[in-house]
Amino acid sequence: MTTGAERGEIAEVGTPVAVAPDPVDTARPWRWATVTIATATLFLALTNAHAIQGWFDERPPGSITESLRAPIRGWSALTAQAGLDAPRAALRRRWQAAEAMRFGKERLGEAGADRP
Amino acid sequence: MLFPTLGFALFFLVVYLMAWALKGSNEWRKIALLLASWFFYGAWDPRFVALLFASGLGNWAIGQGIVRARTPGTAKALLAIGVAGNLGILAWFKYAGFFFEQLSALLHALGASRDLPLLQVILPVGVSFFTFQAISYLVDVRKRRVPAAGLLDLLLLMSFFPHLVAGPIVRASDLLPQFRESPRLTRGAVAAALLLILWGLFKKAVIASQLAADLVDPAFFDPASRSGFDLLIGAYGYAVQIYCDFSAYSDMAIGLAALIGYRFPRNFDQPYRAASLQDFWRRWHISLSSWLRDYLYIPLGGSRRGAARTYLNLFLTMLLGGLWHGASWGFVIWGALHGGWLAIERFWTRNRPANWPATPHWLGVIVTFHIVVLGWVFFRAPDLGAAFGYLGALATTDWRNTLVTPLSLALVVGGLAIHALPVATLPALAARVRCWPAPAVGLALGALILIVDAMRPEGVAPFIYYQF
Repeated sequence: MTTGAERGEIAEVGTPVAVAPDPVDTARPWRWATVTIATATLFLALTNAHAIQGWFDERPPGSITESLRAPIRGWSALTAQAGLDAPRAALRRRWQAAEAMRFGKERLGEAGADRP
Repeated sequence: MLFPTLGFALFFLVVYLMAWALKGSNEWRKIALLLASWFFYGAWDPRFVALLFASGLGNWAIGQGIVRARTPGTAKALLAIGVAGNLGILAWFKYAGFFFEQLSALLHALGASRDLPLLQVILPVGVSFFTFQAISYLVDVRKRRVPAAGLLDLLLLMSFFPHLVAGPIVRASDLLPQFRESPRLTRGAVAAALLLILWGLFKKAVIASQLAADLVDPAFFDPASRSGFDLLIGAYGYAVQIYCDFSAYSDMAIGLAALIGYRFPRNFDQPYRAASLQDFWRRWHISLSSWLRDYLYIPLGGSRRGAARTYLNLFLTMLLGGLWHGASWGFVIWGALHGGWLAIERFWTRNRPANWPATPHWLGVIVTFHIVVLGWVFFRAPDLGAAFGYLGALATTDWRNTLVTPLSLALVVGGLAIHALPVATLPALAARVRCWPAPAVGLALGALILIVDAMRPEGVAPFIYYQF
């Protein structure tokens, strides 16, 4: 048994974010990270606006939320009209079809559904 | 505020921008992170923030007292006060209700009925994690493994939002040196962090949540009405669910901290690959198992006081590890099972006849996995009676399927199959991703999050380890 406390746990078991060094590591890393996160955020805002609206609809009413409600609904409607939510909807349908598949008569919500 | 929600994503975006905007002043950066962490914690209950602050302040004062103590006896006494205070917080919030419940039952059984106070103590989220962190800090200061921290650093160590509610238990020796320097990012760490967050999101939102809803919850809700086959797959399903749930939290915590510039230790390492229970505990909740080893097993004497004492120490360590999860007989049995089997393994390692063949690796993996699954039944069942009821129903010879769907079976198999992935998959992938242009990485990340979102069940259940 090793005693990790003297040297710290990271020295003993490592960290999953350690990647072998490379010159590219120091090439504007913050800008690279921020552009990556911003692009992903924009992509999701375009393709999953329905989820944003759903989350926002659950917020308790207030002066800020009420003033934002209409623009967020408008954004969701606009992206849906442009068909940007279609990929997620198609994926969702396929997943729900997989959820509905059965080996036999098993029914999850009912105890022992295929028992005599 | 749960990690895989839009609310947390918005919170994190603000914290990320704020933390790097304050890069020029490490002290202001830490103050901002501390305030953000308290905001995050206060989202559960603002009163918990006061507890966290008081605990941090008390531990800071005792740490300062230990380094300034003029005699070893004074330092030892201060350490004892600190450890007792932290354990007192834990005992009050986690065990007081259970204690009075058991005492009341005992008094009734003895015919001495008395009305005991009915305690409804609200459990602060993550109290087990930050009290263990504080205890290790005080012990490390006393043993001069780490210098005493300043108030800001200690408050941030205990409150830092990525690990605050469900670990990993990041020790002072890991985080305090990082707090003293201005953090820096590297593309490799960012790529690994984003992959970890994505992988954690998939494990939690898809595998763990789907298995909980479709397989595990129905199996444990009324085991008597299910077949042995249902319950066997249900137990395997829980093994996959708790792994995907808890390791997902750790992955996301490690990834989020890395995006702000801090490294956390690994907390899971494909635990169901373990060929012995000792190996399992080097792979499962590593920050807790190493904490128990360094601050409980070794102070108890470890393996230095003879064979019998070693077995007893192993048993006691795991029994207390079980109780750390909460006050219930299920956790006691779970800890005792792990401690007992660890002691048996140690006995067998020391006393196996020289001419007996060693256990094949594959057999060790299968036996270890089933011991762990047996323990999970006690861990998951609402009470001891329900756990034994589950095991009794599991032993029936009814092998019809009333519960297992193709999807739930695929998720169980998939959740176990990910343990066969090469160990260095993530760093290898991160090393490739860091060379891609940022917009390409962003689009890929967004597309993969969209896929996960399309697959997850409605709503987000809290992480299992939030209750501890």
